[in-house]
Amino acid sequence: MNLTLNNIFYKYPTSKKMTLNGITVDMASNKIGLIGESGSGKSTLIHLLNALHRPTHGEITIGDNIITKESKLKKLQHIRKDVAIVYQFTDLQLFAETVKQELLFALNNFGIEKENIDLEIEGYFKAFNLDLEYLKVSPFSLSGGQKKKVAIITMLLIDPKILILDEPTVGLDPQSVEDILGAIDEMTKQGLKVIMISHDMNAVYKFCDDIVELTHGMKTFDGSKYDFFKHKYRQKNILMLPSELSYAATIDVNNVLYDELYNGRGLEEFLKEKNV
Amino acid sequence: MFESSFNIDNLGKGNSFIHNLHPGAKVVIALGAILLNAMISSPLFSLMITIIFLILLILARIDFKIFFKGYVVIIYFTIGLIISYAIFVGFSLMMMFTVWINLTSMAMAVFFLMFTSPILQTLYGLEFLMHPLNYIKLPVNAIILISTIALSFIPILVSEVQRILYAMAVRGQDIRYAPIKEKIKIAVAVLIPLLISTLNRSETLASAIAVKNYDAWSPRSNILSVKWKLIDSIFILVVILSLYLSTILIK
Repeated sequence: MNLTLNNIFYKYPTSKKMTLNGITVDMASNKIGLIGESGSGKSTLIHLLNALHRPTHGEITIGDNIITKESKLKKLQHIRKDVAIVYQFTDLQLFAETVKQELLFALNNFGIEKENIDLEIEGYFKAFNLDLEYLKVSPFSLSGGQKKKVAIITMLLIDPKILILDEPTVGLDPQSVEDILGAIDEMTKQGLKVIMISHDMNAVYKFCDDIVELTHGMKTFDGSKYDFFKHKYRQKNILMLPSELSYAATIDVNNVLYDELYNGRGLEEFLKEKNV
Repeated sequence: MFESSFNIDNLGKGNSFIHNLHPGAKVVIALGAILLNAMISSPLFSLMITIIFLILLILARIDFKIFFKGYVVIIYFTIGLIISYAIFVGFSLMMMFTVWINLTSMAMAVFFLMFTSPILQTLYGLEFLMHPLNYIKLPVNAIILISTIALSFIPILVSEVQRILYAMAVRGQDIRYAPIKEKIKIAVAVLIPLLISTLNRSETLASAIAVKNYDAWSPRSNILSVKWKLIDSIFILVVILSLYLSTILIK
């Protein structure tokens, strides 16, 4: 599903300044990382994509739908079926008595009827490495990683075309991160477009193909992961590099190692080869 | 969309001489006025109190836009009370005026505190005034700490409600467009995660306070270093004098 933003400005009614300033981006890739410091406008942007807000100026194209200042949000609610958001704080999204009821909540709201829902849930549980026994328990009794998986499956059940994950790796154990990113990665191969908001550069480096960077509501980068990290590598901005590149960036004065490392050759192997 | 324009953190901030008075002095005036109003129970006295506080708020150069937003709530209360009086007691213009001025005068005292000192300072003022109660083994500091925490929770709860409403909206339950029956369902769905997150937060907070070695009876320093000055005493005297003159005028 095509997703483009054309010169998007947004100002909250309670604020005096623009939160988003002229964002133009064509989100063509299926694995996009949306990054930027806190307060840069990432959350506002995803709310615009979900038709929770209307842009103050500019237009957003999601498939055949166009969201502008003049759009009637009530009439655009069906967009939420195509663009799903999983928020960072899963505790605030769960409320049902059992995990099964939680999973069916969004499905019922959108009036989606599926004959093989149990099989589908089973498939997702398998993909996310979750035990089917959890279907009967309260969502609040689950661990952080399990809650996150349930929250993602809830949204996947409505068959969205675009899935927005807000900080999907925060506070999770490495196995849960692996499970979630692995399962989502498989789904992107079947056409699901994923936008991942994250401060975790390891997750962004591992998962995303393209990156959009926002700074103070303005787009400061839009391009491939390769170009993004190359730029940060040359800048020696180790805070914005994944761990496997950050150490190399500090010792690689002439920036000759980036391509080797990016293409999967370990630093250790490279240094051994060069007798360093 | 679900954002509230009300920001508790900005309430009571300002730089007029009234803002700079000792919070204890302001608490004395506000609570004193409310008590006297209840004891004297005269519409004219309530009117005088309202005028005195209105003058104080003008001197404090508060933002009257926010004031009127708050005053709308008092108007609703007034209308509700007038309707109940009219049903159960009987309607008269004097009754209408009495109900309105009584509620307004008390609201003015509260507004005076709200708009001229930040909530934490007001609590400090209360603690200052309640200090003698420590001698009868009343844990004043603990009471104030609990009140402070309860008040600090308000903006957190507001932002959590916003987050939950967003999470509900993206799952197809937008409270803004839902019919009344659905709105009630959404409200229940908001309360459950809110309650659970509040309980979790309280537990963490209790542990955090314990690890910081809090003890209500130990001597403590205070982040606010407001000293009682001559101007505070003069301020109290002037307001008391005005109230006394009001009572003479009524007679």
